[in-house]
Amino acid sequence: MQSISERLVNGLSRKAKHAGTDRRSFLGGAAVVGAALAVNPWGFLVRPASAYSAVCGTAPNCADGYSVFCCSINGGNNSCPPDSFIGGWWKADSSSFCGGSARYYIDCNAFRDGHWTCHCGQGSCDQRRVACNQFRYGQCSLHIPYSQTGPVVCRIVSCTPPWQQYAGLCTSSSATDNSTGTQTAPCVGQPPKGSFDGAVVSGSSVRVTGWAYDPDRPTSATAVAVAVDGVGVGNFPTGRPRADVNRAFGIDGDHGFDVTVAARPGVHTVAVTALNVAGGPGNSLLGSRHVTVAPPPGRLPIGRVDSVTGSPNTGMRVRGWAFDADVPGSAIKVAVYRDGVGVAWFPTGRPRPDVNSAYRIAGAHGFDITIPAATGRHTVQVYAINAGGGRGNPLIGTGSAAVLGLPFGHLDIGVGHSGTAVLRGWAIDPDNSAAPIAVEVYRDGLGVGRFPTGGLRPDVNLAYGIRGAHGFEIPIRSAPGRHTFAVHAINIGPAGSNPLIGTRTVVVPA
Amino acid sequence: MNAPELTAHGIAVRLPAGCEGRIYRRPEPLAAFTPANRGARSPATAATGPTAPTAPTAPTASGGATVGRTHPGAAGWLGERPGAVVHLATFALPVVRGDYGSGAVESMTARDVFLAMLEFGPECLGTALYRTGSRPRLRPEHFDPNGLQRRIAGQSGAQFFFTERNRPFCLYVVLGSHRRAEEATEQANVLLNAISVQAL
Repeated sequence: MQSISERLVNGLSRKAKHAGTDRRSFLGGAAVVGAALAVNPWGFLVRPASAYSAVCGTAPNCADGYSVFCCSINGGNNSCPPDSFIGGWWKADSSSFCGGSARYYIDCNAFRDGHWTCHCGQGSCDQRRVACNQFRYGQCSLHIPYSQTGPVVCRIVSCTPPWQQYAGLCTSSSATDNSTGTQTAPCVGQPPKGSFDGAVVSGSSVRVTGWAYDPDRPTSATAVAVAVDGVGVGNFPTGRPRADVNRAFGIDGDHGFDVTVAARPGVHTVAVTALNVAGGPGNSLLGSRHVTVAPPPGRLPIGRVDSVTGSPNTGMRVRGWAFDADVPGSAIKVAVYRDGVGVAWFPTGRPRPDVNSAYRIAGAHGFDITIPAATGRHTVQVYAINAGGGRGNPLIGTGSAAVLGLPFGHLDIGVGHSGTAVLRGWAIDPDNSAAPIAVEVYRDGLGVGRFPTGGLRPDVNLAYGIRGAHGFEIPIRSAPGRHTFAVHAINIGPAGSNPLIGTRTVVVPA
Repeated sequence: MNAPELTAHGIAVRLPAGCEGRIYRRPEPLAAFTPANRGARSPATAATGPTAPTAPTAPTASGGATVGRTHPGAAGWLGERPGAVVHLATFALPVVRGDYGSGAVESMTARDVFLAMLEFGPECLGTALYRTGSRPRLRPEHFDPNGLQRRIAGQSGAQFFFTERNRPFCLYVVLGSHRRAEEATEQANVLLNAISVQAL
């Protein structure tokens, strides 16, 4: 049978559960956020929880059914109030309130003498139940039978095992309830103290130094949480000697921290929070600092000239690849020099899956360029143009090749006269454009003979800007009938072919 | 067809039809609680007791290695003695549960019953709390909406401390609906009677 007060509490609890709790009733909005950051920075920054829930943790309302924290109803003291006794304990594993170790909850039970009546907590967000839940964990005060055990008045919290903290009163037989691991109250113990002494940038890392300790465990190491731009990087233990801190506060232990965290180039805000390892309203934000991480020196582009070949009468063909690791997915440019003289910049952009595979990059980084070049041997130099950090455009390869000058010309006309075919045209070898060369004549596929040029062709000289006499007019005695004549220009330069410059069909009359 | 039987830690349960059960004991922590390992140190240094402080580690950009490290005292400290725990229920038991049924009782329907029986250490033998007699026979009047570890609307609970075969136990029973206490108590007794304790 429930008492009148119990029925009242349970009724109010049900009502509150539906209506929700007025958050402004105990803290203003901005203050809640500030307190939340101080109490539970990871919970507040990382999880999608409200500031309200971060201050008192989960299930803070009477309707949630849990028992209140003792400090909330006992003048801020994390101890059993009068007319109650320690009845048992449980633990929640991996508690952030204890730096990652187990957190212990010790129930203070009422006696069955009626001194306590069931009600809801008031005055803070810890509005959990007071002296309502008739329950006993059963490891402490074993001399008090269950028949004399009243409801749980409240609970104490600690990071120290109860069989040590309350030796002789509590046994080490354990019980576990991890669902309570995220519950707390603003009044539980003292917050940690500390200082964020400095943040020094070195390359792409930031060295964070300072000290922190928890007054509730002044000789124990604690941990600090480091966040960069509001994103948690990690929890780091204290443990560096800080004799100055020990002297100042009259404590023992190693409370310094010296942590190095990585950061990308740019301006960042580094925040350090001391983690609460015992009681207290939670973690303490030690401070935040702005740091500027300079961009890395950058990397120069790399590449390779795969081949340099000459194209007869045309120029030089240069093939290879290049990319800049600072912008590995983008095409860059290469600068091509011929015999030490700049020709032009050319974009890469040809697919080179072999390069992409070798360097594990995307993009099209090949090039296949033809530059003009006079006949003869030339050298080529290729530079990759830097597109990211670093200074200079590195030479990625050189090569040389000969541009062959093959003769060329034209068979202008072939006419037949009585017993003779006459072939007229012109031919030049660019390897010596002023000199006459020879042409070979084939009639119906059979060689007839080799004949010199030497006829004046001012039209040809004008067209090609050359001198000399490059015309030919060759009479070929032939039997009457239809004949096909082919004329080849004879090369006078480096090894090369004698190209066909024309064919004509000529009807030779009798 | 015989009912399935669970046996572990000197406790046997012949599961009634349509019920679920578990018998387990949590592992004993190995790390000593000392000032030297109160911080987030590596298990290797913590397990051997007080040692020189380890140097803070330089984390990677993600900090994953440091964030993911398990505290040596994450699951408690050396000296802790977890006892055998029996959970029986008329509904599917979730994987993650507190020893007194948190995580499970929240999913009970009005027709369900949950039972937890926790064993405590031998130091409890003969004490006023545990020498109160043998295992109880449950009656509807034992149950109270405030007799719960955590009050949940509609439910009621009852708790008993007793010693059986020289082993101290706490029995905790939750009814999904206090209004059905009469009927649910019968179910609870079926569950309770399914448990047999052996002497160690």
